[in-house]
Amino acid sequence: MMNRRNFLAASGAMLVLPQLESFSAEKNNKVNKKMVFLGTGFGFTESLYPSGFGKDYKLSKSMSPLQKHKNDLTIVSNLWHKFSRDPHGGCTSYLTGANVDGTPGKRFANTISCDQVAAKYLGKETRYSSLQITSTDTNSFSGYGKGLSLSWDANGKPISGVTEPFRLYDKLFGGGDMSYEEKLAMLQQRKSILDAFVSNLKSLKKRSSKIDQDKLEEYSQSIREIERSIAKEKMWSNKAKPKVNYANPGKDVDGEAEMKAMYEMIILALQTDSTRVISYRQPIKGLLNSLGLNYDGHQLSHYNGSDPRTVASEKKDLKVMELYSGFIDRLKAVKEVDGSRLFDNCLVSFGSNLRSGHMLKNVPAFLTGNIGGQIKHGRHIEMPKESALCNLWLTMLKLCDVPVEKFGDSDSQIKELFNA
Amino acid sequence: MRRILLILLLFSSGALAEKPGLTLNTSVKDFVVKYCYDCHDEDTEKGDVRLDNLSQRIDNSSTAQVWQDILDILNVGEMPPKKAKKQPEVQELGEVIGSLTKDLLKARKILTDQGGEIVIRRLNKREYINTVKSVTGIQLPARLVPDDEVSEGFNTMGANQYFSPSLIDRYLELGELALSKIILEGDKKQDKTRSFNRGSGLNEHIIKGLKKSIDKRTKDYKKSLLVMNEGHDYKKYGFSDKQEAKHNVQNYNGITTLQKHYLEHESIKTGFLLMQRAHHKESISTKADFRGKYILKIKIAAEDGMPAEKRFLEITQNDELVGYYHIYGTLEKPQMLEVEVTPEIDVRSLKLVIKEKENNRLPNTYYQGRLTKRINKGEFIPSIWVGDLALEGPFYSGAYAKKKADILNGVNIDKASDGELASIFKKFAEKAFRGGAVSDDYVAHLINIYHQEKSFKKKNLQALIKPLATILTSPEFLFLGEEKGEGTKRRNLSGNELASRLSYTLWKDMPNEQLLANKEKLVGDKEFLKNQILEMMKDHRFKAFIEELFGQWLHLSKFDSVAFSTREYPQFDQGLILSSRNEVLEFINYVVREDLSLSNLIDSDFTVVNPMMAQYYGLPVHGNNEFRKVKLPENLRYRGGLLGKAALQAMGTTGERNSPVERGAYVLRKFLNDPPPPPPPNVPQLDSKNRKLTVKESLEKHNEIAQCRSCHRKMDPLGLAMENFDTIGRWQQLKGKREKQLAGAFPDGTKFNDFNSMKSELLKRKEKMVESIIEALIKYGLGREQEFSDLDFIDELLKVSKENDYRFKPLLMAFLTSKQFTQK
Repeated sequence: MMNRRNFLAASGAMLVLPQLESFSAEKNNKVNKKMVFLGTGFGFTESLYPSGFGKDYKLSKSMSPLQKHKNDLTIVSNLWHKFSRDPHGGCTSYLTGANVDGTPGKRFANTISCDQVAAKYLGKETRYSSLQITSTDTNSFSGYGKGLSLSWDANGKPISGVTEPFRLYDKLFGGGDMSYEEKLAMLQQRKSILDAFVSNLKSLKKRSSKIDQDKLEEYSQSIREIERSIAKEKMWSNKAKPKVNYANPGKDVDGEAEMKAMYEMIILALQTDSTRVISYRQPIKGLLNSLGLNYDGHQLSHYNGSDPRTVASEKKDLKVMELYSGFIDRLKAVKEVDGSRLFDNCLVSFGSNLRSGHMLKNVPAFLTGNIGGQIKHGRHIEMPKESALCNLWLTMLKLCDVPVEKFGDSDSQIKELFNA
Repeated sequence: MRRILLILLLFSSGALAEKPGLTLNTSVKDFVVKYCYDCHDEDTEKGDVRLDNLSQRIDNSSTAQVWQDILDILNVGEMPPKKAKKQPEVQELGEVIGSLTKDLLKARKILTDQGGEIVIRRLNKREYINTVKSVTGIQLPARLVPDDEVSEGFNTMGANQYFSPSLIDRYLELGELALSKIILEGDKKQDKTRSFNRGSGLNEHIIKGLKKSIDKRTKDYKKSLLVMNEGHDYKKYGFSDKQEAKHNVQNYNGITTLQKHYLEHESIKTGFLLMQRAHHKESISTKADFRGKYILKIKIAAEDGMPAEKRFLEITQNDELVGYYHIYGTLEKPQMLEVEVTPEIDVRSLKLVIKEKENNRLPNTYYQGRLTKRINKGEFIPSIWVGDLALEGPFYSGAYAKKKADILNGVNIDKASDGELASIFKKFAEKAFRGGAVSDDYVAHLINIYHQEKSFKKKNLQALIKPLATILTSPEFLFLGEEKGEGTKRRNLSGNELASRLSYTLWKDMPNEQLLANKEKLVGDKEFLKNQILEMMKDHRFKAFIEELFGQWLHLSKFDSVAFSTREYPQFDQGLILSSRNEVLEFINYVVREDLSLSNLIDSDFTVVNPMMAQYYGLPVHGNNEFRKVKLPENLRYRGGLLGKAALQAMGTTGERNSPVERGAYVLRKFLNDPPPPPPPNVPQLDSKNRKLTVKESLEKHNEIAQCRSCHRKMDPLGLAMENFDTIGRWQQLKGKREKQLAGAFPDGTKFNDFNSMKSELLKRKEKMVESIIEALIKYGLGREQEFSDLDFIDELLKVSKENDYRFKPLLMAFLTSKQFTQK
C-alpha cells in the first residue's frame, strides 16, 4: 500500500509551491487549452442520476460529493451512440461513436477516437501529444469491451494505456538523473533495438500471407510509434523532464489509492504542460476490491433484485464521485503560469457508453472545466431523446479550437451548453 | 472452398442466390406486413421509414442493419406503437423476436465468413512463459507477464490479439530479467545444501510465549478493570487511552481461554499445535536460491476427534498458495508430509507458512467466540499437531549451469570476437524462432546493440543480455509465423510449422528437439504423425491442453469471478473454491486420458475427487491430496457428469442466490449447442419500482413479456430443473412447490420431471454436446472463429466421434490430422 500520509503531504505541498515551469509556455506566458476524457466501463446505479432539469436540478446522494462544484458542472441527458450494441462494453466506441460491427466483411472495426483527433492539433508542442491511462483491470471484470484504453488511432486500432501509477510516473517524471549525452546514447540504443526488430519483421513478412501481413502491421505500427516517440524525445532530450514535488507512488497501489495517484498525475501532467490531451479509463474491479466489496463490475451492474449489491453499487458510485470531486478540487487549486486556474483552461468530460445495466441510451455525460468561460455551467440539460453523443465530442473539439466540422455521426454542436 | 460454400447455400436457401446470405423465416416477413405496413409502406413512409421494399433475403450488411434496427425497436417495445389498433400477441411477438435474433446472428456469420483462413497469432501468456523457459531455462513469475487481452472467444485467436508499443517494452523488460538470471547467475551456487529444523526448541519457545502472554493479559486485565470500574487514571498503567483498557477487558476472556486451552493439550509435550487465536500458524524461512529445489518436511497429525472438514493444512510460499494438504496421520502414527518448492526468480528469501485450513472468510472474533463457548462448557478442541518442521535445500540439478554454457556456445566471452558473438546470437535466435529466419542483417544489428552496451561500460557478460532480450522480443519469437502458399491455394505445412502447431496446441510450449529432429517425417508419413501425436498425448504437458481447451469451453473464468457471500456461505472457503474448480478439470482429464466416452461428461457413475472434495460431497475420505477416481454410491449419483460438480452449479449463481437463468443458458450453450443470443441492448432490467423481485417473480415476468419470452422460455425451465443444487453446489431435497418447479420441458417440447430425467434426455442428445466441443476445438486449435464454411468439417468430425463411441482421443486425432490443421 502506498503511504497515505506521503501522498497527502505531496499533493498538499503542491498547493503552496511556486508555479512549476511550463515548457512551451515559458517563452510567451501563454496558457493552452486542455482536454481530459474520463471514462468507466459499466455505468452507474440508476439512483446516481440527478432529478429535475435546468438550474434547479437536484444531485443524488451518490453525486453529493459534487455539491460544492454544482455551479461548475454540467450534466447532459439523453445522449447516446446510435450504433452501440454491446451491453457489456462501455468503452469500445465511447469516444469513437463507430458502428464497430457494421463494416461489411469485418467482424470488428473501430474508428479514431475524439481525443486522438484533438491530439493531432493540441499535441504538437508538448512532450507527449496525448496520454492514455487505464488500469490492470480486465475487460470482463470492468465492462470495458474491446480496446486497450479509451483511445483508438486513425486506423481504428486500440491504443494501449499506462496501466500502473509507477509507470505513469516514470513516463512523466522519471529518468531525471541522466545527463544529456547519456540520454542520447540511450535513445540511440533504443533505436538500434528497433532496427533489429524491423530487420526481423522483414524476414517474417516476406514469407507471410496477405492476411498475416495485415496482422503484423500492428507490430510495425508499434515500432513506428516508438520511433516517433524517440524522435520526439530526442527533440526534448535537452530539456529535462519536469521536476515535481510528488513522490513516485510505487508498485503496490490499487483501487482507490491508484485512482488518486492517477488523478494527481493527470493534474501534474497538465500543469507541467507535458501533454494537453488525456484519456483515462478507470478501474472498477480494483476499486471495488479496495473498498472491501467482494464483487466484480459485471455482477454489480446487475444490482437489481439484490439489496446487498445495490448497496455495494451505490457505495462504489459514491466513491467514484468523491474521487472525481477531489480531482475538480485540484483543477481549481492548481495555478497556471499566467495565474489562472488549471480549471479555467480545461475541458473535462466524464461518462461511459453504458448508463446502467444493459442500457446504452441516455448515457452519463458530465462536463466540467471553464474553458474560456463559454459553457454556462450549473445546469442539467435535457436534450431531445436519442441525441448523438458525438455532438458533445464535436462541441468539445470546437471549444478547444480543433478545426473539425463533424465527428462520427454528429449533426450539430450542442448549443444548449452555451445558452442559459 | 468458396465454390462449395456457394453450392451449399444454393441448396440450403432453395433459391437462386448470387451472393451468400440467408433468407428470413416467412413468419418474420408476415409479421412486418401485418403490423408495420400501415405506417411504413410506400405511401405513408412514416418517420421516413419504408419497409415494404425490404428484402426478406439478407445478403449484404445494409439489409442486415435495417433488420437489426427492426429487431432493436421490437426489443425495446417501441413498435408497434401502443395506440395502434393491431397489436401482436405476447407469444407471436416473442417468436418473431426469437427467430429474427437467431437469423441475424447466423447472417452475420455468413456475411463475415473468411473461408477458414487463419490469422497469424502471438504467443499467449502461458505459451510465452513456457517458451521463455524452454529457451533460457528461467521460469518467469506469471504475475509479471502481461495478461491475454481476450474479451471473448479463445486465447489462441490471432484476430482478437492486439499489439501495442507498451508490449514491446514489457517483453524487453521480461527478456532482460530472464537472461540476466541465467547469464549472470546460472552457474553460481548461493548456498550449501542444509537442513533447517524448527523442531524441539520451537515447541518450548511457543509454550513460553503463550505463558508470558497469558500472564501479561491477566495483569493488564486486572489493571484495566481498575480503570474501567474504579476510575483509575489509564496513564498510570501505561495505556494509551481508556479505549485500550476497554479493549483489554473485552478480549481477555476469549484469547486467554484459547491460550490456556492450548497448554492443556497433552500432545504439546511432543510437538506444537496449530490452533486458532492461540498459535494459528508457523513459518520457516531461508535465503532463496531460484536454482535450487527445497523440500519442506512436516511430521504432522490430527488429534483424535478433529472434524474431517478441518483436517487440511494450508501451505503458502511468499504469500502465494502452494496447496492444501490432507492430514490423515494420528498422534500414535503421525504422517510425514514432504512438499517440494522452488523459489521464484525475483525473491530474496523463501518463506513458507503452514496453518490450519480455516474459514478465513469471517473475522477471527467469530471463531474465537464459538470456540471459547465450547471450551467453557468443558469441551476439548482437537487441533493439528506438528512434531517436526524442517526445510532442506537447496538441491541443485546443474541444469542452469548447463543452460548457460549452451547459450554461450563454448565462446570465451572475455575475448569474444564479433564472429564468435554472431555464433552465439545466431544459435540462440535459431532455437528461439523455431525455424524462423535469422538473417545476417539481423545478427549484425544484435552485435551493434552489444557494442553499445559495452560503450555504457558494461562487462562482456552483461553486454550479452540486451541483444539476447531483443531476440525474445522480435516478431519471429513472439509470433507463430507460417509461410504463405502460392496464390490462394492451400498448402501443406512444413515440418517446422506442423511441429510448432502440434506442440503449441498439445503442450502450450515450443517443439522439443525430438519433435524437430523428425519434422520431415511428420509431414511425409501419416502413420508416423499419428504415433507422434499419441506419444504427445502421453506427455505430462498434455494436461495443459485439457485445461486450456476444456477450461475455456466451460468458461471456468466465470466461476473465478463469482464472489460467494461470506455471510451466507462462509464454509465455501478458498480451499474449497480451488478444489472444486480443479475437480472439474481433473474429471475431464480422467475421461480423456482413459479414453472414455465423452457421454461421461453428461452422466457418469464415478467422479474424480481429492480428499477435500470427497469430504464436501460425503464420499469416503482417505489418503493424500491427489485427485482419484471414486465410484459413486447410488445416493450420490447426481454428482456424476459435469453438471453434478459443485463448481459448475456454483458458477450459475450470483454468489448470494441461484440464477436458474444462467444455469439454463449454460445447458443450452454447452449441452444442447444452442447458445442463446447475447442480451439485447437497451432492454431495461426487470424492475418493479418499489421493491426487489424474487427469483420466482422475475421468472414469471419473463413469460409475460414477449421480449424476454423469446429466449427465456428456453433457458428458465432447464435452470429450474437444477434447483436442487444450492449456491455453493450442495444438494438439497426439495419439497412441495419447489419440487414441482423442477419439472419442465426442452425447447423442442420434450418433458422432464427433475434433474435426473433432464440428464437422461441430455444423454440422448449427446451429439449436441460433442458438437459444442468440436466447435471449441476448431476455435482453440485453429485459433480462429468457427465459420459458416466449417459445417462440413464439423459433420466430418462428428462422424468420426460417433464411430468411436464419442471418445475424445480419436476425435482429437482426426482433428490434428485433418487438412484444416495440417494445411495453411
